[in-house]
Amino acid sequence: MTLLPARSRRAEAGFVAIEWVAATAVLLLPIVVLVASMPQWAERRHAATVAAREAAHEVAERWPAGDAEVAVIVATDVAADHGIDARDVHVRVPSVGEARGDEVEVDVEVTMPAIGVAGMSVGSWSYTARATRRIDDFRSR
Amino acid sequence: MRARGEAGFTTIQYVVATAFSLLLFVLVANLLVDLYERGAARDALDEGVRAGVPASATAEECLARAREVLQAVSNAASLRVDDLACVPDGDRVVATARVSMRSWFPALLPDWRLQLRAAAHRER
Repeated sequence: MTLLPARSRRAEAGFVAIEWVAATAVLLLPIVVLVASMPQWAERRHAATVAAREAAHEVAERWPAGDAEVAVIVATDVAADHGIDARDVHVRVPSVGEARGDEVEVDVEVTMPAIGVAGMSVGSWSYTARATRRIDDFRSR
Repeated sequence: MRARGEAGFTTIQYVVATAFSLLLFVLVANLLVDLYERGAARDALDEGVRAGVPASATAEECLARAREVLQAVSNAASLRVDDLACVPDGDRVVATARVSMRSWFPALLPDWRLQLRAAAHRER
């Protein structure tokens, strides 16, 4: 066994309090923040899917009177139930169904915070959910 | 005989620092479980209102479905449902729940209490 010279041993002496704070700030906290952000992505994705489904359902139910305004109101309401602010929701209605047998299409785009913890967020990307619903072939106007 | 160069480096500081790190990990795990349970509770309400959408469905069916899903997806020991209701609101059916998620460290963090809601338009 070889013992280190006294000078080397001194050089390896650390101070746990400082090293721990540094390690926490540089290694642990970024990981924790990232891990805490991930569930929001799944939640918001699910919320977008449900909002699009409900909006398409409502537009189809009101056919031929259903319009994009109805889809926006329903999708925003559902998103609010899932804790998503209206500013983070964008609704598009590519098709409201012109005739029986047509499809109603609703897109709900939700802003995803890249990093978001305790109401603070940094960076973002977006996810779009599309729902399609067929107008009943034998439906009366 | 104990070799001189094999002396350990574990100090009180190290032990305390490690304990704080592990505590932080446990708190994060608590947060993740709470987020899962919040999602499960929201899903249960969504399922409930979907059961109440058909024109012939009643509020009791919505309530029964929501309760069934809640029992299936979440452990009652960590998610407590204080109040669960389904009511018709005009042409919509609305489900609300008051839930609380138990803290793993009540001394450090209180329980997380939430008011959740889901709504769907009923078929005509």
